Amino acid sequence: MGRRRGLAVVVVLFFGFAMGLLVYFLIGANANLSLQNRKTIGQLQAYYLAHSAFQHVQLKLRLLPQETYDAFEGGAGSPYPDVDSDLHPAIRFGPAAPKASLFDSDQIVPEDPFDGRYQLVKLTFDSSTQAMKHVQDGYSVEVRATAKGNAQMTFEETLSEKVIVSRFTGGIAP
Amino acid sequence: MRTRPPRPDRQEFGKSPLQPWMAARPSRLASGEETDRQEIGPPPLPPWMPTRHTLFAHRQKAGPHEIGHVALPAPRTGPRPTRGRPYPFAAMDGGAKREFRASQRGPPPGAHRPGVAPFGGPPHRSGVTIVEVLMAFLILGSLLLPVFFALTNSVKETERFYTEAVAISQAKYVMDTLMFQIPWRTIRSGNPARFDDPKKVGAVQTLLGAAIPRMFGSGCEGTAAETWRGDGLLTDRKGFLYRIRLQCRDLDDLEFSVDIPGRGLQTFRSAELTPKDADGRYCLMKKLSLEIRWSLTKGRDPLKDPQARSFRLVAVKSHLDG
Repeated sequence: MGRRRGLAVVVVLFFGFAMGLLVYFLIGANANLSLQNRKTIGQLQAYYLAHSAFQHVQLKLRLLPQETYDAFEGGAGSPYPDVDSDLHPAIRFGPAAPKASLFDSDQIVPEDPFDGRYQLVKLTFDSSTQAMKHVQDGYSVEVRATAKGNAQMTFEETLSEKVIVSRFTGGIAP
Repeated sequence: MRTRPPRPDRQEFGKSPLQPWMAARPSRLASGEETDRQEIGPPPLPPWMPTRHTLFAHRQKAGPHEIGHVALPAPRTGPRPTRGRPYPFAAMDGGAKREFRASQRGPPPGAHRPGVAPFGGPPHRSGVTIVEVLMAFLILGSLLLPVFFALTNSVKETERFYTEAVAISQAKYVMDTLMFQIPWRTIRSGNPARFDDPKKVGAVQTLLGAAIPRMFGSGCEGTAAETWRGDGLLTDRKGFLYRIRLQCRDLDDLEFSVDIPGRGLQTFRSAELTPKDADGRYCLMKKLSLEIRWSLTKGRDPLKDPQARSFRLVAVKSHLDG
């Protein structure tokens, strides 16, 4: 009889432990999914900031192809010092106003939902092709973007691409 | 050799003094040994026949509660029966009666003495009381309650994650289309943004007519023909509703600098690099802000749901059209 009663205590403890484990993993799985979705949104935000930076560089290469070539020909290390979102008040991302909603009115909402920044990390002149009337310059571009999401999480995205630009017309072929 | 006479039926026992087997026995009355008065009572039984007292003697030991025996009255000997109460019970004073009743009542409910089974069953037999069963259910319920709560919550959370995944997927689709496929000139400033091609190129208008309703859903048709608004309502397969709105802000008057060795930092304004656009502005970059809002209740417009969830994505699109 004494042994049976001891066994009952073990069974009850084991059952309670199993139930607790089940609840813990259920709650943990939900928390993981929620966190994963928030990370996805933050990472997506950094991804579009990086592409914004890359298009900014492409725009300058398209508008100023001859000047860019001249800069590298003259020995410049980084001829685009202004490809940085924080240097342009109109472009700057932030300060964060997560409560601001586009649905509140039909007026332009100037606030951004997060703090972010993009900048050019590296622009190098790779090669130049001069055949017939076509003169094309090849560049390597590397940009980096950061976005600060909710819960003080910071997301970073780096993008590296090669671009070929027509030196006289500004036509771009990525 | 002595032969045993046939056994009489029990119901007939003692009713008739003249049984056949008795008739076969030589009567002492007939032989003149006893008087008539002595012959009135039942005749003496043979020595092998059990008497009434010996026949029910075991009942005196087992008690009247034992199952399987007919409760026949025990022979009345001594004082009158008092149903277990002291005799004379009526003559006892109140205190003595209460004391006697308390002693007869037994232990209180739930006070089970080890080794003695409740309800007068056989001793040394284990069992569970109703209190123990109730306690077990209470413990089981307290353990299972959070489990059921977690399961219910998990189902709700699954739907929440589903709507989040749909919202993220749709937002990515819209932003990818805007950043890499829709011509820069067709995205016009405003909240919500407008979509139309100032050059009225047929292929571009066909592209807009196919892409914009897929991005923003219903309600994105503009007031004029071949125009659209960056605002609409989408419904997913489960019936959740999503509001999507795009804001476009022209970033005019930007400066573009090139550091040329020997010539210094060369800075160019937008007006020096591009002609005016369809809106009469020197614009080379546009800031796009996309918000998607959805309700966690099926079929409910997120604009009317205070518990609706939302997020925004922001990007800058540059004028890279040829």
